[in-house]
Amino acid sequence: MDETWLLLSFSTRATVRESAMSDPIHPEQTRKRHYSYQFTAKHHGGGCAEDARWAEDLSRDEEFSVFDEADANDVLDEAGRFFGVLRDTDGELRYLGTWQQQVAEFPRANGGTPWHGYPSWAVNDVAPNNRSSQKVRPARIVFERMERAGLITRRQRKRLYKGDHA
Amino acid sequence: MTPYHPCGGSEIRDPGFEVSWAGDGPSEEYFYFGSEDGRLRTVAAEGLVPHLEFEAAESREAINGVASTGHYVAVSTRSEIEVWSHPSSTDDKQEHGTLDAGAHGVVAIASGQFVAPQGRAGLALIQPRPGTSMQVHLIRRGGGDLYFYRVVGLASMDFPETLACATRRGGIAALSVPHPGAEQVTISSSTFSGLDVVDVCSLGPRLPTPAVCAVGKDRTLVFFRNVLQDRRGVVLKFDRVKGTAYRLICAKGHLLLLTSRSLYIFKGLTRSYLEGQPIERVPTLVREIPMEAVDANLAHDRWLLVVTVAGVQVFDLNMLLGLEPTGQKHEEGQTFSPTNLSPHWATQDAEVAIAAGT
Repeated sequence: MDETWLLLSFSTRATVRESAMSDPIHPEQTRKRHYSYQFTAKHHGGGCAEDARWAEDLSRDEEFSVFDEADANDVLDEAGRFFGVLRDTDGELRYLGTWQQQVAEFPRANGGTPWHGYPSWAVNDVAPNNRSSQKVRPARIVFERMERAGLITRRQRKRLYKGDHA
Repeated sequence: MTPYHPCGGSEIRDPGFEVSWAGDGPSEEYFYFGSEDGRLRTVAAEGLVPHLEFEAAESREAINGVASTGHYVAVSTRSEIEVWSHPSSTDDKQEHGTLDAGAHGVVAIASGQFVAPQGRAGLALIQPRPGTSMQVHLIRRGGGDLYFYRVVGLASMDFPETLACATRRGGIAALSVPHPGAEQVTISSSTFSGLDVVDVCSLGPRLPTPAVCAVGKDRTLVFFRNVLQDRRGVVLKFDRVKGTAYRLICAKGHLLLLTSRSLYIFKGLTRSYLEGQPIERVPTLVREIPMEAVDANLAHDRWLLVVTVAGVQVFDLNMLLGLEPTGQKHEEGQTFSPTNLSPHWATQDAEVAIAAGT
């Protein structure tokens, strides 16, 4: 099983490079750090079946807002990855991805290149997790920062932290 | 232990032990509490006093499932499944085995195995064996189209031991527990557009058939009299029930639904269904107890343990269900009318290989 997961990771990186030229960039930058954000084809239906995909009912402005709020509230881990959520009018967490993910991950972009992201938790392609694939699991501090920023409630933090939908 | 609750409940709060899971303990005298940093604690049911405690999850991740069978207790987190011999106050040496893959929970089934739903990775069946490594079987339907999120074991009178699974958009999946040495098993699944199954529960012990109820995240209830054979269930929804569905529990003929808003008790609903009454067309008496809950489990068929944002609420099941007086006046409930749904079902049967390991 571990070997399979390593192969999937390798395949993912290669696909991003190929599709980077055709990925549109959001017209605005984030409020705090002025980061640019691009909508990668890979995570909008242009990738393979195993690739995480943003939910079809999520607009591009909403997707950008998930990243913008993560940036504005410093919801990042020690590796510099941002994580975000989106609440509906009732305060419940919306599905961000086609596999019912409620948390999105934005891997650290190299200097000057736009950021991108994908839905990743609590339900995901290789979830709940394998120790050989730590990168799919948001660190505990991420959920605590989300709660402190008011992006999620304590109840939602406790649910997400143990791998449950919130 | 703190304040009295009008439904016969008490609340435990311990700032040094943030509870993520609470339920059955090693014996009827104890509960197990799992913490957000991977510790497992036994708590005496009488007096709710902490007893033994150990670091059960090496990853120090939040415990999301605990199950006991024989001399063993299994603990799951999103990083691992660990199997230990039960802690003892007279012997500090515990047997221990680890499966380095996380799960959404773990249950024990009648045949003495642990079963853990591992998302798209499938189901892990773990046979603990004294003094040797654990035997593990992995079951996954090709393509990973089912997301194994919750599982329940069903021991009925006229059918082989069965596993019923909540598989999110995959719906409700069922399979017979494989015999030792079996190389493949049939998984059948039923779903319909919009259904997102987040939990499933048995409708009771010693039933002729493996009967279950499943719940969608939007609180849609789906009943199957025989989850191994039925290809479509009775589907209903109560519009007055609010929140995101978290847990579904059947107790003494009643159905308990925990949502992000409240605990709902549907009085006699499962009993009525099993008696053949048209539950999708007749009103049901429903009692609502508002609470901000995270998780809930039955313990020893006598208690309901609700993990809240503050601690653990312990309810005497008989008092909660109104089977015994609480000494306090409280509402019996309100009558909720269901909406009967007739969705277009999609079903699938597939033979899948069983991968063995240790």
